Amino acid sequence: MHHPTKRKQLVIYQKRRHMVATLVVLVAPFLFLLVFSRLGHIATGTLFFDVFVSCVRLLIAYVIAAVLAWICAAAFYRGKRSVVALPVFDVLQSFPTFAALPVATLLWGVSEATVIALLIFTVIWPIFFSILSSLKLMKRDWEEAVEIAGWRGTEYLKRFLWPVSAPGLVTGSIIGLGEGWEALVATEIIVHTPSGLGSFFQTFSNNATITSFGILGLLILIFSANKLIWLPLLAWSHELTEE
Amino acid sequence: MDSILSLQNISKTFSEKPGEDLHVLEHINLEIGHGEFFVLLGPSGSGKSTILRIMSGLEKSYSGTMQWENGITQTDMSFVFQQFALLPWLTVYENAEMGLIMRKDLTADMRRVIVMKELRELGLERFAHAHPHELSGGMRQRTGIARAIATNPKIIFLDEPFSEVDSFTARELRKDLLAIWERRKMTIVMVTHLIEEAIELADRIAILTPRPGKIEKTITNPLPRPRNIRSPESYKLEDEMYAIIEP
Repeated sequence: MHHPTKRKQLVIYQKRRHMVATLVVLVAPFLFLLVFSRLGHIATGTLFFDVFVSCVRLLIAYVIAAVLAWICAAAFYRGKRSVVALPVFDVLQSFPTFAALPVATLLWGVSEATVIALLIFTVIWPIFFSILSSLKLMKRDWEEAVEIAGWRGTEYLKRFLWPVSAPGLVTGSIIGLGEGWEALVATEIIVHTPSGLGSFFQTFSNNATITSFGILGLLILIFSANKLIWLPLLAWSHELTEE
Repeated sequence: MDSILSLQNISKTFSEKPGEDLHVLEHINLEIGHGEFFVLLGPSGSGKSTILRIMSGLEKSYSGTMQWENGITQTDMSFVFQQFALLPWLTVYENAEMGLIMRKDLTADMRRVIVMKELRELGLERFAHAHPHELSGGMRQRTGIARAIATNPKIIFLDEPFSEVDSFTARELRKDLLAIWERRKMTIVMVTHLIEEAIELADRIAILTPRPGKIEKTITNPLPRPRNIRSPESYKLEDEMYAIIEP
């Protein structure tokens, strides 16, 4: 007999066809970059490195933003604290990201930290407000059942707040990363980073063909990440709270 | 009467906006006896669920005094919700286990033995792996009841527990609940708006008036158990209660 605590599994690949399609989508960006670098007479290594560096920057910013957003949403979604904090967050999120650029440059100069800080500032708001909305819209009955059960501390966070917030985290991540890609290239161009997609686009700004193919490559990359990671996670997270 | 809980002069007002107060309860006085099956009966808006929420500690803001028998703590109480309140990401087993998770004196194996015993008692053993959305309304409420009794509570609060299931299932669940109560001798406080349900189950019935809720009368149910709710005595009691609710 199976142990009765068997949890809902994270099943991404329901069918072999789906797995093959995902593999193709995963391989496609690399093939595209390879062909593109050959046709555009760009050093293949440099191109892959630029893409890799930009992805790492965005990934670091995303992880920090997601953790901060989750902690803030969990801390402020209800109670007296939320009355004070939420209007403050509302005002903060309305600031354009690049308004923080002078401060970030002053603090960290032209560096990775500046790019990552600006990316965090871009990515965090959709994630935060999406998690917040998941938490605020949860059924009151669930909270009361948990209160009667006496869940506190890590058990409360792990067994209750985490599953309730999962749909918001995934939805917010999709929106946040969409905005993040946009901000990533712009920030890298403004900050003049020596590597990354921003640097690539800046180098070839006078060559419309290469720039267009570069944008197409970026779109394939974003589409692949969505298809491979986010859409299955979105389906899974909604299934978690399905009644 | 040897009481487990006493309410003195309990009132409750909801203040949605400044100057717009909603008086829900006024001067509620009640004594709940040990091992008693007590029913709060009243029309919609009479505040019966609010009384239950105050008793169970879910509603913390009210005026008046509530006194528990010495030694009774929050862990001695359980709650069965009208709309089941099962966590959809947990299985039937995990939902039933909820009240035992924080118990440091129980290992995972000990919890498993307790939960499986309760699931067996309520006919849910085969559904231990299932998630709430895979169950019928009756099965969901059975899971809610299993969760409530798994902690072996001294008192269980039930908020219109059978109103979301069909009448046949409700009848079965009432039978199950009575069997559990008779076997375990815990105290039950239940809210309902159905007079027949109150007559079938309760030792005593407190009848509430419409908003603001006050206790119009507390009736001791004279019918012997097991009860036949289609007997002349039952109909007589029903008429008596209708006369109080609709004077």
